[in-house]
Amino acid sequence: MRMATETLMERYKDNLFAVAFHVCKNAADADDVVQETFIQYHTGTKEFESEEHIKAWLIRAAIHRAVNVTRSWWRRQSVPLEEYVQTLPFTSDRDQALFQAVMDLPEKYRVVIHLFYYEDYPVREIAGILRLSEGNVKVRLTRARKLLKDKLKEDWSDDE
Amino acid sequence: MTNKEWYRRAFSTLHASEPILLEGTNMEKTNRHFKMRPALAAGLAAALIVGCMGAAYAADLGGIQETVRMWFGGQSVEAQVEDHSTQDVGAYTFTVPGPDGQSVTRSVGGTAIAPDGARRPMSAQELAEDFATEVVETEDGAVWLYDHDKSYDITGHLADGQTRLTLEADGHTVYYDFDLEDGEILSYTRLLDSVDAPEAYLPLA
Repeated sequence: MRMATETLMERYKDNLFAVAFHVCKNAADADDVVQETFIQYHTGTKEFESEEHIKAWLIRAAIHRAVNVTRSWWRRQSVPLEEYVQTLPFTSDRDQALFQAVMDLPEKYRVVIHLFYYEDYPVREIAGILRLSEGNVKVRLTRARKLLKDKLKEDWSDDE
Repeated sequence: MTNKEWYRRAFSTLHASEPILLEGTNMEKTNRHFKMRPALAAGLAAALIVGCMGAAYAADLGGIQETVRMWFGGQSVEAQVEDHSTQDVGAYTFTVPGPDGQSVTRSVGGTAIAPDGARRPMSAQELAEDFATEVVETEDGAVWLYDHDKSYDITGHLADGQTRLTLEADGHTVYYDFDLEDGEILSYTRLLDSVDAPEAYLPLA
């Protein structure tokens, strides 16, 4: 199956932006990744099993593109992360502290953490999206949680 | 509040800018073109807007305003340019000679952004540079890599996962990293420095 690109843009542009931002830490680059990922879908012919399958493909494609952006010599001139964070409408200082703590994680942990906590993907799905073993995903999750706990102390609970 | 609820609340502050609606959906998709970002002089960035990624045979163009010399399909060609630019965005339709003697049109646009945030429309010549390097999947399933005056059928080199190729083009050694899934190119990058050891890249001759 395939869905209209405009429908997917409306539903998932923020999901793609968020995951790309976790890689790039740069809103302008993340916006480019969103745009380019939808163009890739739009011009493609790949058939999908379900909307969830499309969403997972979009996220995977966005991550690939975002990683390539971070490798490229060509990056957008953009406001520093700290300044950008100040423009976000957090509901509390605690939320901002979590945001900053996640952004301080190494990239390979940020993406796994995001897919688990924001997208609510189980370990098996994350392993599929990132082409990692389930064991590797679990290790990254454990290490990322420990780093978040070290930084956020009791605010970060021990639940999963 | 669980960690998940907290996480979602904190990161729900992230919103994409409104993606640009894709135009030209009714145009015939012949070949698939995988675009990279436009290369600009140091200190400038660009927002690339691609109206139609597929190539379509030219209809009556009319209103042709200028010509530019550009690389297209591994050859230096004279392109006719139709200017659709606005105050902020340079937008052009390039008409170039196609491989079978028929003209091919391609539309692309972009805004150059200076470090101080000042924006200006990109020129036709700047955007024409964008066509110097392309990866094109043809109707018969072949994948061609074009880089300035070089053209390679790389179909046999591509495999799921990561494929790394290197070649000499435009006076440089360039490195390509491809990511594929289910036989489809997910993304690719062209770099002047290899990400991995140069030996990890298959030289194209």
